[in-house]
Parts: sequence; structure tokens; C-alpha cells
Amino acid sequence: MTQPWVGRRLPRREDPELLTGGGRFIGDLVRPGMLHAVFLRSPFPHARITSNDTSRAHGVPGVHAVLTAADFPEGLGAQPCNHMFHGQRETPYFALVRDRARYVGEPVAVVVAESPHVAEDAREEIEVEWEELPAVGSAVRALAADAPLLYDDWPDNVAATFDAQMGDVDRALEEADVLVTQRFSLQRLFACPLEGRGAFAEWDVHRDELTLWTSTQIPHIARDFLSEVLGMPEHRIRVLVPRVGGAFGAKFHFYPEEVAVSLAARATGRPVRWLEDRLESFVSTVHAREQEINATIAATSDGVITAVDAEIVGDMGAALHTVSYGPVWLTSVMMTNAYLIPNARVKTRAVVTNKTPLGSFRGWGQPQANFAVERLVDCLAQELGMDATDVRRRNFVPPDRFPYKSLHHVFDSGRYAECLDRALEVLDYRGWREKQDELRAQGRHIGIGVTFYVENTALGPSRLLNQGGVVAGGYDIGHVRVETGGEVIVYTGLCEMGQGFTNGLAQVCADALNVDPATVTVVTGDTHACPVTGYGTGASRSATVGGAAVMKAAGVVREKVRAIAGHMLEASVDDIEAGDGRLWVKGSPSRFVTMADVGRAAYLRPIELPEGMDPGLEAVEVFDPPQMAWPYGVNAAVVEVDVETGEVGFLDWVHVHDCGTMLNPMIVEGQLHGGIAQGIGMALFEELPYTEDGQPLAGTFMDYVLPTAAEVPRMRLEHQTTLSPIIPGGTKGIGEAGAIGSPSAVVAAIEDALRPFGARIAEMPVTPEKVLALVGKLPLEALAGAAQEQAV
Amino acid sequence: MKPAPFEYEAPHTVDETLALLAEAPGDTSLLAGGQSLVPLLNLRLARPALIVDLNGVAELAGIGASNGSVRIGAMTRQRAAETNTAVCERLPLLAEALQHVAHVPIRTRGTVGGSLVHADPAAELPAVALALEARLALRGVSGERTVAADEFFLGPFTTAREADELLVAVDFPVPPPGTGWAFNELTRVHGAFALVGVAALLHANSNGRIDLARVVVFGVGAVPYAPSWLADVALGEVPGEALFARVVERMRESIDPPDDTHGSSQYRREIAGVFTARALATAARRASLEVGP
Repeated sequence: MTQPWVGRRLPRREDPELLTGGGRFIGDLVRPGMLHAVFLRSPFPHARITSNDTSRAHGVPGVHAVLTAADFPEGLGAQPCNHMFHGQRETPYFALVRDRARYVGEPVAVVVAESPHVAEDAREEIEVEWEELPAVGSAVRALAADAPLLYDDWPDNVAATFDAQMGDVDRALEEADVLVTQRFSLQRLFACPLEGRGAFAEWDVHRDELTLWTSTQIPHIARDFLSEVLGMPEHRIRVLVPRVGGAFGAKFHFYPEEVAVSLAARATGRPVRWLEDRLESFVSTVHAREQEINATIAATSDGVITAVDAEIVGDMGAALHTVSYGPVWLTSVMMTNAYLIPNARVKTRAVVTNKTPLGSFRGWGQPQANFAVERLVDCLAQELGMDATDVRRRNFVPPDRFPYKSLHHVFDSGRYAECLDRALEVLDYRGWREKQDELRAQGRHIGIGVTFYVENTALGPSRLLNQGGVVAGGYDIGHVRVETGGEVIVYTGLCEMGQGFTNGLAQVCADALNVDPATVTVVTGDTHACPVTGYGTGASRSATVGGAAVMKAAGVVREKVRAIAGHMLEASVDDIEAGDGRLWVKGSPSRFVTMADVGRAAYLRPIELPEGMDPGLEAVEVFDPPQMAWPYGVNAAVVEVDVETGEVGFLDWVHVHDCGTMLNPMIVEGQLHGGIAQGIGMALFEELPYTEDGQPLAGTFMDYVLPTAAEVPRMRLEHQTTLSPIIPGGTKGIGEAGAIGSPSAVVAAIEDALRPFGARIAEMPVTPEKVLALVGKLPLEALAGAAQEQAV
Repeated sequence: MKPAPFEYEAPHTVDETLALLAEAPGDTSLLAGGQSLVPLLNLRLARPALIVDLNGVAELAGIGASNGSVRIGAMTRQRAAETNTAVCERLPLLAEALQHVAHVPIRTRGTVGGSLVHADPAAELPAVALALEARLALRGVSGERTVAADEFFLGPFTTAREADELLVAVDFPVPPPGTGWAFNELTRVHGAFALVGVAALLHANSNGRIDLARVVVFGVGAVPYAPSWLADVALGEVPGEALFARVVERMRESIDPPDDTHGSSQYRREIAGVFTARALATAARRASLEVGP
């Protein structure tokens, strides 16, 4: 037996293609006769269309169609939700605004022309008359008694409520030695993939079939939703996904443009492509994160946390989009983080406002919960005069308590304290503490932030998801086929969006079939070829659920391969050994058959197969996880703050984590690097501010600040391995981990650096200006959510 | 994000260019490196009727050093200036400032003249031109005139250049030997527009008294601010903490910076002071000046 392929640092197979500019994205696709679409969008946060005259736009030479909602089929369905939580109100919205726009950027008309330039010229000729309506630009304003309503038949602007509870919180609060309360503001930001969205539709009028290339994470959901909205059977819709230049959750959404472009292709009889431009991306791609969290933790005087009591308000923007208020829901049930807190109560409201709809972004609701809980733990440690790492260690769910039922989920396995201790050792926590004192004496302000996270991965099982209101299941289907030449093709409904999980699936498959992963191709992004996946590519489920499905299907194929080889070698199947693409009889490795021999027999020479065996060599298997898998880790950040300018720089970053079996450590590390960079973006830079009446204030990269390589520190990563007992192979997901716990670590480090100033930080991004307010050089009203705490 | 229709001309000589400009409609844009104009076109914030592309006018690019000054052709790429020996040796302030202009790929296209004529209040080169007391050579069909930097920048994106004139070159006088310099700016991330920036020069005579002091702050108003009072405050004085503190305080009092999402007026004022102090300290150190109390 050769060394397993799983666990090896194999270079990503797609990188030469991508790095040499060979990747073909939506923007690279060309079809004969193709036309270009651009969208006219609402300039108002809330307004009714009183008239919409497109006649002048039609007259611009080179224009093929100018379509408004009135030009679309009467029976066109509203955009569906994949998550239908119990009691959520319906927020119907359509491919194009019918009569009332509810956010700046909502698509109103689509222009189709010979070039995007001409289409933009014609767009300027569309004459829309608007009647402006009062608008709400914040959840606080939306909740006011006299707030304008977004949906006239609702009593208020609350789209949904959710309560999570365990234990007896009131009693715990009463009996606590210490209570720490803080209000947290999590800013609105978004995934901002560097390749924007795009959709390219071709409608074959002769066959009445729609082909849609789209930059998505959810080809099957997109197909099913297109079918639902267009009233067209699924088998006549084919969704194809070319290379995707980043998605991060923002493309786990079914967008109005995908419908509008499809209908534009039908209307013009020509292939129609729309590429989101950077300007519209800031208002038309789903936003993320924005919440207000008001939370109290109760503890004993020796630092044992006894309760969490929280209220969460999620600002959903103008409608419940594809995932409804899922991220806010997830925040609510993650409010105990990794801790053995027996009593918890979280009341959640999802509120609509006149802003771009809120949706998915790496971590979903977990960075928000992590920020609130980890900040409270830091506050508690201050209150008690304890080291915050000691408070964490004291409250971890211990290894012998797994499976551990948290507020909602069941955690599968973990060695949290060991992970924390290792991180402190790798960082040289004591050493930095000593250095901090020395430098403080010299007037330099360094800070150390150490926070802990768990991540919800391997989303499933299907029944649990369905019970919770998810329209899709949580399974994955793997299809493994050995070809005539012995090479292998894996078909998966999961979607490659740059994260590289297909390399991991190839390694899993290679181990199962005893072949080199170089002989395994993984096909994604074609609803006519790939099996359905229960959910889509999200929730860090590709390596775990997808890997297990491939492992299962490859296992079935392997048994048939062995049976064929045994027959060809005239030996018992039980005596067949395999490795490096060969199979032989135990004890005589020089007498062997290759995978090519087996493949040839299976397809071309069935005469060589055992009596009664059908030709062909493939299997389709389903894996539905019995539970979810929970990786975890520590972010330890060391920052230096310039208290004259407010600038923050990194001196060190250590990340020690445990995601069970790593299919490919290099890809795991890449996922962590990227997630942490995005977490740093949240902590220091990224924000989509709105005025109180719903006008967006960030519309270009001049306003929306993304960290560059220069702002992201070199990270020192270390892996710990605790197998997931519920995923075959012991894998846990890793896709979102980096983004979840990093914001809390950055902010903890800044607060620690500013300890001499008594700073307390409850909102992000921590801009240089806010730092100067924290050290007292600018007025404090610059900071919202000022600290409140009390001891009893 | 595609430009509105425009006419396009690509002359090969300065004379051809001037002839075109003499006939051109009022809303004509000159295309140099395109690092500001092209985004504005794509956003349709700029909608010129005619674009005159200067990239084929070879005589506009080049750097020449003569007695006491360095002349930089308007179409010289920022990266070429940044890496030019004469610039690095004789105008270290300019060389250092250029490293703060966006990123290398952008400087490889962007031109020295383009940035000056664009006159973005947050740009580095106008501030450096003021600090070095550069002279800008403007040519029209009727001849050439020279405009001092402090008369060139009139407002945001507004200069003394007439519509039918072309900036052909910029003369940067070389400061006396031993002049200390400093350049710094605060950006949210590397290469982004400056919230506040400072360029400074400092020189003292053999008696240790300051005989050249220039501080220009930018990003804090419509045009870079080069305080006229600095000469009164600093010249003839011995460098010292108290003197520098007076300059900082007066600087903060003299400016009224704008607000935006990256920083309030008050924040910019605070930083302008911090950076002025740091720039004076750095320039003094580079001029080998002892800074007293």
C-alpha cells in the first residue's frame, strides 16, 4: 500500500491555467450573435414607478430590446427563497421592479444591445417617473413606531422573529456574581468577489431550451428556481458554471439578473450576456453581516460563565433573499460559542429596511456571534482581573463531553484547551506580555488578542434542514466513473469557485481506487451532467459531505474493479491487492492488471468479465451526514497602535486550528489565509454605510476599503487533528473558519494595546479616526454603542 | 461602466497637438496615462466630445538635468521619474513622493504631467511641485509661458492651463546641497488616496539658522496648502521642538479639511499636525540639523 494521497500538499491542478491567464470566466465566453445587457436600477431607496417610457431608448441604433417588468410574462414568479423559516413573512420581489422599488440598485429595466457601450447609451434614454416614498436606512429607524412600512400589509417592518433558549436564564442572572453587558454594532459589508457576478443566456427557440452560464455557487438551485419562476420544466434548463473568480457566499444566491437575462435571450432570440460592473456590484450583490447585538453574560467570581442573554436585530435590507434571514438565525444559535454555558436565551428579530438585501458571506452569522461572545469574555476577564485566556480555558466544552448539545447544534468532537495552549506556546504569549510592558514604558502601544472560534460545517442532515425550513436537503451525491483507459471522472453537484476543493475530491477518489490523482478529473458546474447536491456549495460542506459521497461511490467502484481484476487474474477477490493503478494477487506483485486493463474489460471486452456481471464501471452514491462537523481554532494577533495617527499594524499572527483530517493541507492553509484576510477587512476596513434614509455612501473602491497584501500579516499556522466521528475519513470543513474568529482577535488586540486609555471597542471597522477617539484625541461621540457594564 | 461616445485624435507632435487644441471644442480632454481620466470616462462622470491622446507625442517624454534644475517632460511616466538617477540624486523629495502614488503598475502608465494637470486635491505631485517651487511650461499656438506652481493650482481639478494650452514640461529647481526632505501621507490601505499628506524641505545656514523651510500639506483643502506664514515663523530661527510645535499649531489653525467616510475634518486636521511634526523632524535629521528644545 502506498502512502495515502489524502493529506498530501499537492499543488492545485488549476493554478497553471489560472496564473497564466487561461481561466475562462463568464467574461471570456463568446457565442455567435451574442448581445450585451445592462440594467437600469432604482436611484431611490423607496419609490413608486408612475410611468416608464422606453421608446427613446428603443430608438438608439444597435439596441435590440428594452424590457421592463411589463414586457415579461404575466405569470412570471417571484424570486424564491431557499430558506423558509417558520413564520417568516413573504417579501415578494421580481426579476425587474413591477411598481415599487425598495432599495437603491433594484433592477428596473434591462437594455440589450450590440455592445455594452450602446446599451449604456440607450439606458440614459429611458424615462422613468418616480414618486418617492419615505424610506428607512437603518434597523433602528425601521423599528420606530412611526416608521414608514416597506410592505403595506404588514403591521411593522419585522420580517421574522426567532427565540432560542436553554436552561433557566433568569435564575442564572439573579445568582451571578458578575454580569457584563455590551451592545455591539456589526457593520454592513459584503463578500466583494473580485470577479463580479455575470449571466449569459441562450434560448434555443427550436427546442425551447434555456442554457444559462452563470457565476454561481448553486447551479442546481439556480436551475430549480429558474424552473419555478419561468414555469418551465427543469430538464429543459441547463445551468453551466465556468471558472468563478471568487464567490464567498455572495454567489450562493439566485439573483433577478439571472431571470431577466434569460428572458432577454428569449425576447431577442440571441445569446445575451450581462457582466456586473463594479459600480453596480456595491448595490446589487447581496450585502452581509449587519446586526445589532445586545448581550449580557453572567459568571461566578472565579470566571465560570453561567448564562448568556441576548437580543439580536438583523438588518435584512429590502427583502428576504435566497437564504432568508439564515445568517441572523445562525448568529442567534451560536451565542454560546465553544463554551459550556448551561443557560442561554437569544431573542432575534429580522427587520426590513430600504437597503440592498442581506445574504451570505463566509461565516454567515458566525463572525457576529463570535465577536459578541469573545468580546464579552474579554470584558469579563477585565472585570474579574483574570487573564482572558484563563477564562476561556475554564469554560471550554471539555473533550469528554462530546457529542455536546449546544444551544441548537450538536458539536461532534474537540480538544479546545489543547488547541488554545498550543497557540499560546507558538505565539510566545508570555514573551509578548513582557515585551508589551517594556514597550509601554517607551510609549509604544502593542496589544495581544487571543480569541477562540468553532465553525459549523458539513451542513446536513437533510431531515434536520427540512425541519428548519430549508427547501433543499443536506446530502451530496457523488458519481464516480472509470473510463475505458482506466482514468477516472468524478461528477459532483458542488461547485468550484476558486477554493480548490476538487483537488481534495480527486485525492479522496485516488485513495479509494488506488490510483494517482493525476488520473482523476472532477467535473463541476453542469446541471445536465453533474448529480444534484442537496444544498449547494456553501456552509463548508464540499470537502466533508462531498468528499464522503465521492469516497462512498468510489468504494463501490473499487469493489467492482477488484472483482474484475480477481477474475482476470484467476484469483479470489479477497486476495487482490492494489496500488499505483495496478492490482495483483497477494504475494505475487509481478503478475498484475492495470486500471486500463480493467477499464477495457468493463467497456470493450465484457467477455473478460465474471459471469453475470454487467459491463460499465461507475457508481452513484449519496451521503447524508448524520450531524454537522465542528472545526475550531485560535487566532492570536499582536498589533501595534500608533496613538498619534490611529493606525494599526500587525507584529505577529498565530493561527492554531483543528479541522480533522485535511484532504490537502496547502488548500486548508489557503482557505485560512483568505478567511483571515477577510476578517481583518471586517475588523479594520470594510463598511457599506447608508444614510438614515437609505442612500448608500460607498459605491466604488475609493469608498469601500479592502485590505491588500500590504495590510495582511504573515500568518503562522499550525494544525491539530481530531477526527470528526461523523464524517467518513474524519474530515471537518474549513472554508469559513478564518473569517469567523479573526475580527474578534484583531479588536481584542487593539483594545489590549489601548488598555492604558481604558478603551472598550464594540463596533467595527476600527478606523484610525475611531482609534483617536478611543485614546481621547477626538470627541468620543464618534463611537456608537459606548460600553455599559455592571457588577453585582 | 463604459464611456459615452467621443471623438478621438492621436497626434504625433506638439505642433500637431496644439493645432488640434486650437480648433477643438471646449469639452476636449487630453489623454496622458489615463489613470484618472479613463475611470472618469467609464463612470461617465467625464463626457468629453473629443479626446486628444498624447501617448504618441514622443517629444513630451524625457528627463533632463541642467544647472540647478531638473526638467521633466509632461508625458514622462511616473515610474520612469521615480527610477531616474538625476531625480533620485537631486530631487529625493520627488522620488520619495512618487513611491506613494498608487501602485507600480499604475505609475508605469501614469505621467508626471497628467497628475499635475488633473490637480486632484489628494494627489502627491501637486504638493511636491509646490514644495519644490516647480515651474510649469505651458505651450499654446501663440507661444510658451511659464507658470509657478503656486499660481498653477486654482481649485479641485482646476488649473491655470487654458483649454488650448498643453503642459509640455515641468522644471524642478534643485534645493541647495544639504537640504533635508520628508514626505509622508496617511492612507487607509497601501496605494489608496491620501487622507492627509505632507511634503517638507528644511535647510540651515552655516550658523545653524534655518534659511529654507517649506511644508506643504495636501488632502486638506481644494488645493495643496503651502503656508505663506512659514517663512516669517521659521526663517532665521534655530531648529527646535518649540519652533516646530508652533508650526504644527499654526498649521492646524490654518486649514479647514473636508469630511468624508474615511475621516472627519477634525481627524484630518489632527493628522496634518502630527505629520507636519514628523516631517519637520525627518527633514531636520536628513539635513543633519540638531533639533534643540
